[in-house]
Amino acid sequence: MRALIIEDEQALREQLVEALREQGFAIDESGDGTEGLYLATTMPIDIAIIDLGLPGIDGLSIIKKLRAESCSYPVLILTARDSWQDKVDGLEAGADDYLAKPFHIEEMLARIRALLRRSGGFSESLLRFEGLSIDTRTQQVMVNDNLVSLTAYEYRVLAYLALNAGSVISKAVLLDHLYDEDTDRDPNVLEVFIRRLRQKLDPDKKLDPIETLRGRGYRLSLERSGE
Amino acid sequence: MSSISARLLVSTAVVLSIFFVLIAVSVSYSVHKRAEAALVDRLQGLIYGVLAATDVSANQQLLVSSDELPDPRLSQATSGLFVEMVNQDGQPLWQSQSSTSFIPTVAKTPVGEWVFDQIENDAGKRVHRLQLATVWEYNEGLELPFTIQAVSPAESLDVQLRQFDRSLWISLLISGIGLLLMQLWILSKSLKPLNTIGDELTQIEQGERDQLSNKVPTELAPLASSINTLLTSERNRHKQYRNLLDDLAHSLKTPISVLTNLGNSTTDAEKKGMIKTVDEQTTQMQSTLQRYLQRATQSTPQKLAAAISPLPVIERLASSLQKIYSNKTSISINDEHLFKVRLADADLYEILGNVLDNACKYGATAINVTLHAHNKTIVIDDNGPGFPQKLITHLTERGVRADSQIEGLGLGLAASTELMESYGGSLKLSAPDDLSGARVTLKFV
Repeated sequence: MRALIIEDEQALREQLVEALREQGFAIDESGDGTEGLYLATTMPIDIAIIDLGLPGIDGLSIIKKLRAESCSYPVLILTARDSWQDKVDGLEAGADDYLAKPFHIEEMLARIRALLRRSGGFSESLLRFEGLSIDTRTQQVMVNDNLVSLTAYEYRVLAYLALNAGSVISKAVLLDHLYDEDTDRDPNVLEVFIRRLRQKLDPDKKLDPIETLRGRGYRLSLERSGE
Repeated sequence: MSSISARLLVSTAVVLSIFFVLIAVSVSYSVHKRAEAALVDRLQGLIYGVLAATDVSANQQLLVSSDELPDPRLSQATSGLFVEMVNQDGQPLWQSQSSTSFIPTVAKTPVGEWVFDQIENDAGKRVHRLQLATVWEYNEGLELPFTIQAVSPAESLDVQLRQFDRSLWISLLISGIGLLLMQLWILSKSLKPLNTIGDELTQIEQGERDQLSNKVPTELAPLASSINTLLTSERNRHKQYRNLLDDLAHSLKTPISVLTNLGNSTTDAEKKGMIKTVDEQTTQMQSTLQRYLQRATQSTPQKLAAAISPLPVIERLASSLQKIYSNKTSISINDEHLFKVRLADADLYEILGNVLDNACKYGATAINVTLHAHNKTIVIDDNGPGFPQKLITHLTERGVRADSQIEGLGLGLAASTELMESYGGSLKLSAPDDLSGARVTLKFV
């Protein structure tokens, strides 16, 4: 998952970046509205966390502009202004949720997980498929009710595929959403992760959770099960 | 006397009364004087006429030719008009045939001087008398001094003058009343713009209008415009203070956020303890900040707030909440009639936002918002778990503070209650008629 953080207060931005990196997010960050808007409209963002009071372009204008450019990823507003009037303005501009300062990072993470689930069409924190379930809250993965131990990167690959279940995700897109700009990206490493994932999730080759579409990418092909 | 129209009316009435009384007195006086002068003229003519018909005999007898008398009434016994000539000893020398038993005694006056006076006769009735002392020369230097007096009854002249006076007073009284009525009408016409301004000010206080209208006479236009400017500037100043306070409070929130999340990455137990203290203190700072921010905005003059319609606010909040809660809750709005409430719009958003959010947060799947124009009430029903009885009784106690922590109640509902009360309205919790879920009744003034 790739998160964009636009927050002009450096200390807070650093805390957010640290917390989200810990959760396995690839991060784009900016302390300035103009640069933030550029990142918002050019990077393959999965979720944006935007402060409203920003130098350059204010948060509301960024949200309006990125929506006008058909960026449909969820946006969480961070602001000190927590009146209902401000909330309504923010939500009408195109934001999906609203977090008033001061807040605990845990609450922000919970909101982000909920927004990502919602944008993937899931209404609970548990993503359920035939034979596979992923708890986005605890990051635990179960195959046929057996806990599977995954590394952080393996989990991120699986969670991204699961949130976009049914869609073909190219290697390049997957890499974009998993790694920061400055990380060394090697498609071969991705293939290694996919192979390891398949081994862990499907040791006896019955489930076949991740399909490889030659030349196009990967797809989580399991059916979603009832919630 | 506090009313301008009463003052004007009373002073006009006093001035008009004095004016008419003065007119009546002076007109009556001059008419009386003229009548008297005309009477004197007539009596003089009579005396000259009698003297012309008079001759003196050699033995000092006055001979008056009855054929030559100037007025036939002198020969009628009951006419009341008579002429008499008396000598210096008061002995009558000649009396007209109309003379009665009453003969007034003549006064000693210098020769050739006219004396006019009013006296009463023996029957107590007023008569007019004109007398003249004269000397008649006859036979080579012999002189007969005597006084001639003409007496005429005052009755008919008095009756005429009384009639004149009466009609004078009546006509002046009628004109006075007419003028007063006209004055009343003019007053009400010219004071109407003032009454209109008074009515409009009441409407501003009651929230039915924002400004005074421009349809005022030229003389009142500066006043109306000044009042409008004052209203606007007060509203702006209120807004400015509120914004300043808001900025101050909000600019502190980002640093508090940083402090709140300081401990996330540390594993050091001692640091964790310290950071816990920081966290507790920042939480307290935050709630203090929130409380004072709310207090400050509540102590503003509510009567200056413009009237706004609650419907668009509810609609915007509903669509926003549906977005936040991903359409888990349906919100339907029934508006009987549109009505306006006099609140700062930010406060209306807070009141309604908190109540609706509370319903969504506690798991309602359907919310009904009903606006009742006739008693300015908004009723919000939901099918959630409802309020615990403890809470219903707690919120009805007076003086519940927005920052008082009550289990099962977000701070929002208490804040909404406090806001409603600060505008003179009320927020009541109850169960809806079908007894499932919760009902919040907002009564505005």
